[in-house]
Amino acid sequence: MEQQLEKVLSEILTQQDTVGALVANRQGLCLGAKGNINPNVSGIGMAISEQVAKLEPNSTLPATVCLYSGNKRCVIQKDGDITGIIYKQTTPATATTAASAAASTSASN
Amino acid sequence: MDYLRSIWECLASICNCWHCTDELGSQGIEPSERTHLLADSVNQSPALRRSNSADLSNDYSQSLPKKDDQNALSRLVQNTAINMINVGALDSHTLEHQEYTDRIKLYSQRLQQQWNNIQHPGFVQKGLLKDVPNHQSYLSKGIPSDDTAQMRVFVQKSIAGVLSIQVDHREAVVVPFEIP
Repeated sequence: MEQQLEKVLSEILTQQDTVGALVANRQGLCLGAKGNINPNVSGIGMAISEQVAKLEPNSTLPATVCLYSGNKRCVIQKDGDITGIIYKQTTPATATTAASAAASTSASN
Repeated sequence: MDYLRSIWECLASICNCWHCTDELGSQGIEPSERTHLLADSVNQSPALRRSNSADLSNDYSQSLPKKDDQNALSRLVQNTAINMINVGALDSHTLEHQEYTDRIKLYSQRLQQQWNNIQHPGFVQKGLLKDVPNHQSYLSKGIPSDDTAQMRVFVQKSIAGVLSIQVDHREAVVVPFEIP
């Protein structure tokens, strides 16, 4: 019935740093959640995305919010009736890799 | 003002019924909403004036003669006439069609004048924080572009996933009750 949505959620969790993903409907009800994310945040995530969309009401692009807290961040995007929420966590390993990558780029330059 | 005048005409006609227009005319009182319907003849009578004064209690302390009964009754009538507003007579007043149209024109003209006098506020921008200049600089800590791209793909796929949700029929929708 909702296998495709489940598949999308599973796929997103395989991506780098992503620890949780959630999809909410227009009423802020959770349609699906996977990973380390509380399904109860669907309502507040939808409300935040709706408020942010009011900053640029004439914009056709979907509004994207990013909340930072320590090494975690929460990305929220609302497109039409669907709001997507992703939790990302920068692990020390990736952070050092990114830092060394940046260092190597600057060194090569 | 026309309306007030018409109401007054109506009241005057009531006064006419109560035989008080002569007194009003003769006294030269400017008619107003406080003008009494009945002429003040009863109050002017010496008997009632006496009863209105401070020795009213003295009068009442003695046994009341029949004349005081009459005075009290007429005073009641007088007070009722003062307090009465003849609503029925107001309702009976009807406007001519021409009067209606004239008033519509007049009122709409005045409204138009007032509307033109108002200082209309200019175009109001819609949206939150529009009164804050450069709100982007307060709000933004650049979102990593790969986050935006990942989110875009995720939401697009989610929309497709939600649209593809459908009910699989595996059993009969109508189930008969197992009534023994």
